[in-house]
Parts: sequence; structure tokens; C-alpha cells
Amino acid sequence: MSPTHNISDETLCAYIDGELDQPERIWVEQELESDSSLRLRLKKLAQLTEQVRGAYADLEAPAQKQKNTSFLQARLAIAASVVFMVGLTAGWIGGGQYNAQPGLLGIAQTVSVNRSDQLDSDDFRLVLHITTNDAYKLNNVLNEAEKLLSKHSEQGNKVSLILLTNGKGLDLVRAGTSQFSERIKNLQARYENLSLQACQLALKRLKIEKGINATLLPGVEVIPSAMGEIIQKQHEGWTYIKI
Amino acid sequence: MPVFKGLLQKQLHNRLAASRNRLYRLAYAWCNDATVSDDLTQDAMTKALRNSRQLKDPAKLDQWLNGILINCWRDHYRSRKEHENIDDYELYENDTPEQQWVQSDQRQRIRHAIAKLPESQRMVVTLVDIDGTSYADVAETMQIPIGTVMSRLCRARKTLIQRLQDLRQVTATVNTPYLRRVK
Repeated sequence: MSPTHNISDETLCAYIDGELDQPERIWVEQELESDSSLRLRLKKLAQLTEQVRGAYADLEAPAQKQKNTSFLQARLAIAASVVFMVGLTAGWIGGGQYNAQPGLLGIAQTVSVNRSDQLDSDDFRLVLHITTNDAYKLNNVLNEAEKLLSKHSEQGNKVSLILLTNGKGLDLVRAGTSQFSERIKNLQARYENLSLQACQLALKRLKIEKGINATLLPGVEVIPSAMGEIIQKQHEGWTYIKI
Repeated sequence: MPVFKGLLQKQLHNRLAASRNRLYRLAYAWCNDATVSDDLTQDAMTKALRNSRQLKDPAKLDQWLNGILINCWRDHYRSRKEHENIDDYELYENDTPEQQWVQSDQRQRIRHAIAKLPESQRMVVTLVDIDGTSYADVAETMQIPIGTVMSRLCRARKTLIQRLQDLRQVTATVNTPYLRRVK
């Protein structure tokens, strides 16, 4: 019996959902590298998970009934103070401009929050700099990005989110290498304030070093330099998180 | 500290309102019916507001709400069972134009396949996939061991993969033209 037979579908599911501990995760990843049938099983399960998520993503509850209108109005009126209060109790950072889920911060390498003159503003701007092709981390990033976009859209805040890729992170936005192309398409369709960017220098490097002529997913913008963009955005007051 | 309490209450209301779409999606995944989902969501939110003092840990609001929604759904499910109409069943299984339309749309196909899963598997797969709930939280909300969460989830996903594959084949046959031009 080959060792990969030890990896059950339950384990693969738990791997997709980010429920495995570090040693198990490493074990699965090692097996994945050497076993194409295991990769196929993972791919099928991961695709299904994406499809299930996507099947309900655009559903919205019908407008609330009349008797609850005042409840909604109250919600808007106290939005600013509540954002701050929840921030204190639920561990938000940056004066309530960014909801820091442990999932995202747990895998972040760098977090830089610009808090200048943003405390009273509902304007929410975040650059997620992606330099990894680790499926677990990417899945986590997309989950968090989706949560943020939907939460802030629901609350009526102006929200802008950039997924900026370079290095290994380019795999996320390259047709052929991206395991999340369907999901990205769905996100792009739903949130026009989400932009995906790829660093041109990194694309060039890929061509020179590995001879790969990368094709990007539709709607991915090529920017001259990731570094330049990050500096510019930080200067403009964007929050920056590197994964 | 009535002022502080009032503020906490308002904060809870705000977070409840923000959870509405999330609850609606879950309810929809369980019953596959817009009207029933809306009713279940309203019902759950009303109950949550009425019993807000039972929420011990505000950080676990989502989990608490899911528990309430599950109870609402089970109440509804039970009451519906008494009035179950056998005719609906027949129609559900037939190859009606509606069925064909369902099969033509990927999202509808998935919703349909999920609606046909056994109740226990459907709850787990929707809580994990649509709601992003952790295994531990699902286990706690549904009061089942975590191993059961894992096995139900896995069985649900494998059944879904199989059903979607079957449906795709059926659609392919449906789309084959019956008329051929003969010279």
C-alpha cells in the first residue's frame, strides 16, 4: 500500500478548510508533491468547496419589513461610535478601520496601519501584498478579503481593496496556475472596488529566469513595480498587509 | 450602568443587522426557498433580539445566531412534515421544464444538489463552506463530536461531486439536438 493511501478524504477536506495542524499540513503537502492522483482528489474537493461558496454568494435578504425601519436608521446613526466600540471589544486595530481576523494576521509577515486622519472616516483602504503561492494561505486571504468586502459594503462604508501580487504570489493571478480562478472571477463580478494587480518586474523575471510567458486572469492589472505601488499607497494612507 | 448597557444593546443590534444577509444565505441553503428563508431569518433575528441576554460571549455572536437559526429551521421542518404533500414529491423528481432550467445553470445545479443532501450533511457543509464556520464551532453549535462533523462534511462533498457530475451528463444529453437535417 502506497503511503498516500493513508491520506483520507476527511484529511483532504480538513486541509482545504485550514483545519489541520502544522505537522499534518506539511505531511499532506509533501504527499501532494509526489502524488498526482492525490492532487486530483484535492482539486475536485477544492473546486466543489468553491462552487458551493459561489452558489449562494450573491444572495441577499429582501428589504426589511416596515416595522424594522427605525432599527436600520438607528444602525446608521450610531455606525461610527459602534465601529469604535466593537473595535475595542473584538480586537479591531487601526482605530476601527480594519477588522483584523486572526486568520489573516496569523499568516501576515508585515502589517502597517495608517491611522492619520482616518479615525472619523468610514473610508476603508487596504493593500494585501501577496508573495506566496501556498494554497492554504491564499485560501485564507481570499476568505478574509471576501469577509471584509461584504462586511464593509453592508455597512455602507466606502471600501477599496487591492490584491497586489509579485514573486510566487503571481501564481494566484496566472491562468493555469491559479487554483482560485473561479472564485476570483466571482469576487471581481461582485465587488468592483476590488482590484487585482501583478508586478511587471516580477512577470519579466519569470520570463527571464524560467522562460514562462505568463497569461494573467481576466481583469488583472499590470503595474510597473510592486514596490513603487506599495510606497505610493502607503503615502496615500492605505493600510498595508504583506502575506 | 444603564448608559453602558444601552450602548452594548445598540451595538448588538448593529451587529445583528449586519448578520442578516449571512443568515439568509444559510437559511436559503437549507430550504432552497426565498420566502421561507426570509421568514426563518426574521424569526431568528426576532428571537435573538428577545433573548439577547442569553448571549454570554459577544465574540461568539455568529455561532449563537447560527444555533438560533438551526432551531428555527428545525421547528419549521417539523411543522412542514405534517402537511407534506405527496404530489410535490412526484413533481420534484420528474424531468419537468423547470428541472431542465435548473440543470442549465451551474449555481442552481449546486443549490439543487445541496437541497437534496440528507439534512445532517447539508447543515454541516453549508455552515463550513458558505459561512466559513470552523469545525469546532459547528460541533459545538450542532452538539455533535468533531469527528462526526468531519465525516459528514466529507460525505456531503463527495456526494455533491458525484451528483454534479451526473447532472452534467444529463444536461449534455438534454442539450443534444433531437432533429437532424437530412438532405
